[in-house]
Amino acid sequence: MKLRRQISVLFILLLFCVSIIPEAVSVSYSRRIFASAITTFHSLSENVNEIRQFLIPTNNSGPNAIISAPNDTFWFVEFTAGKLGEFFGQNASFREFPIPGNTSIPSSLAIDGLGNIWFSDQNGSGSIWKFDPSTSHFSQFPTLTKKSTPLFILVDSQNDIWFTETTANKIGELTYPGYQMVEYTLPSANSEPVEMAWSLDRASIWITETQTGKIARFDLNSHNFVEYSPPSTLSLKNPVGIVVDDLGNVWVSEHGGSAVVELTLSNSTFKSYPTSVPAGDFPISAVATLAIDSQGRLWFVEHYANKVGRLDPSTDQMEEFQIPSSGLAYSVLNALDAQGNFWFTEFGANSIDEIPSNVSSPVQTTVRFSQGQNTTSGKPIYAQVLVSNNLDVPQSVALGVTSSFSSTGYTSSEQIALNTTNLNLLAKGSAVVSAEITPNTTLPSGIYSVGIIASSANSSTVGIAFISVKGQFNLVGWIASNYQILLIVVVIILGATYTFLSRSSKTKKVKEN
Amino acid sequence: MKASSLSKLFEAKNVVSAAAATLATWLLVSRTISEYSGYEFQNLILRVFAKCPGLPYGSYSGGPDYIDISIDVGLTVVAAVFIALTIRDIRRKRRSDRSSDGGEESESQDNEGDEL
Repeated sequence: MKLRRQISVLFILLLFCVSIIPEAVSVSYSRRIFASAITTFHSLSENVNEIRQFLIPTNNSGPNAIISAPNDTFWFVEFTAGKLGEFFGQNASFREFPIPGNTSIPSSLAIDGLGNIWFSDQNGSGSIWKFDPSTSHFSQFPTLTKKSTPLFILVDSQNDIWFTETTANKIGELTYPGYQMVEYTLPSANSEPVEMAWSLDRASIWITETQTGKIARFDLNSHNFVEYSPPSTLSLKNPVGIVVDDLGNVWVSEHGGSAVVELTLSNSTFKSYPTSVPAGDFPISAVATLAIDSQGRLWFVEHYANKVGRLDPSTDQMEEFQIPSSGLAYSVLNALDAQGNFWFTEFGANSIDEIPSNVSSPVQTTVRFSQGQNTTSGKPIYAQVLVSNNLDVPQSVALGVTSSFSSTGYTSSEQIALNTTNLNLLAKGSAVVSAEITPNTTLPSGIYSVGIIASSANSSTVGIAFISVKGQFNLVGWIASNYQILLIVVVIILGATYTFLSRSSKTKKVKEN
Repeated sequence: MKASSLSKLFEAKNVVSAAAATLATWLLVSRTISEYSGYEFQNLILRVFAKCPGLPYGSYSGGPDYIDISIDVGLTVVAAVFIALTIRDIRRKRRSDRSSDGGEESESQDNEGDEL
């Protein structure tokens, strides 16, 4: 009897230890990953000739947003220094305008049809400023709601000024010419509206809700909001940047993830285009804001990867270019000049930067499926990846993977297995790589993206393809995701059993007596 | 024969209460660990977001999670009750074993408070 009791106790202790160890290990592992993530922001800085950097005269000015103006001129805000800056492209010279009061925290800006510069000021209760370059005169318009944290500014064809009030959960309007202010509250509480874009017909404004992970459309006539949520199979982690393409489809950047996401309006479907996942164990690339050029290509800065990205939806290719300087290449608003060159601010490096329109990665990747693009979760599907060298010299290429299987873009070798991860390509040569794609057994039905990354010295290309996954019930996965509820039920059953046994033993004792 | 079946019931009770106490304690510990790692991750995200000037420094908290707090309180109570019951049953069994060796006199004392 004693032996049985000891075995029972040992079994329970063993169960306890076996259950605790994975938890403890996973915590220490995640802490290691995230701790290293914090310290490896700048581990991959190499020189890239294509990116031109222009240092701002004021030290640590905190350039945060940039716009393109006529005559090769650019305006930007200095978030830390509290100044408005002007950059002349012809002679690479700067002019800075201190904002009256010296307490401003300018965060983004826009230019109206009259040439006035409008910028948001997050200092104090929040305000919108107008700057007239012809007179160097500043005018301030405090927001109606206090502590509103205004951010993005948009100007309509009537010179009305629209802006987001992130912490007030509102968008505001300053109506030309009297600049009377009106505010409109978004339907979801604490949604934190961040950036805005005009719809194709300019009858409505698209807005990213960074806290709720939705995008909203504001009708200018009815003043009503309509919200769009992605399906459960696709995360929209902290959407920030938003642009609309020539077809009226909406493109959003995931600042809390590693993807650019497209909302196709005709069928209200979402598609995710994943970036590469940063080296140094950093969990996400954090695509900041978007700009769309005349060819429909999307330009962006990957905040935590310190790269410039360019997605061409017509070819499903995303090219990424390493930014040479250390520091966070970050801006809440980027610009395209008249020639289509991409301009962005480097908050940490105190500069504004330009990358030419025609820059291209020396490698290309194209993903092809020979036997269809439909599969069932847990079952493999096979693809051929063509990797091409565009250079006249041989080069070695490292291959990697990304996908929308996870919200970070992290993809294991079990999910996408390549038959090789390194290639030595001849001049203008190419090679075919086999990929075995096995969606997780726990994935629900939906459309997922897979990306094969080919990296050379300072740039990489992600070849993206989409697969349709049919989810199936998986008992182990279901138990793993619901184990706490199951164990609570087991505890309740054990409690009931104990009560029953207590009563039985009591009854037996009474009978014995 | 009757004493043997009663003893078996006693053993089964011990195992059941010990299992319930262990499971409830393990659930509490694992929930605490996952809560802590979630807290660490939130801290990281907040520190990372602090490097995004201009963007809202999100709170990432929807206020107290009353359901989870209730589950934790319930599990604590269940774990405490079953630990107490397990200890009580083990001590009672020992006394019972001693009394069956040395006489039946303590039997009546053991039955006191045998209410669940």
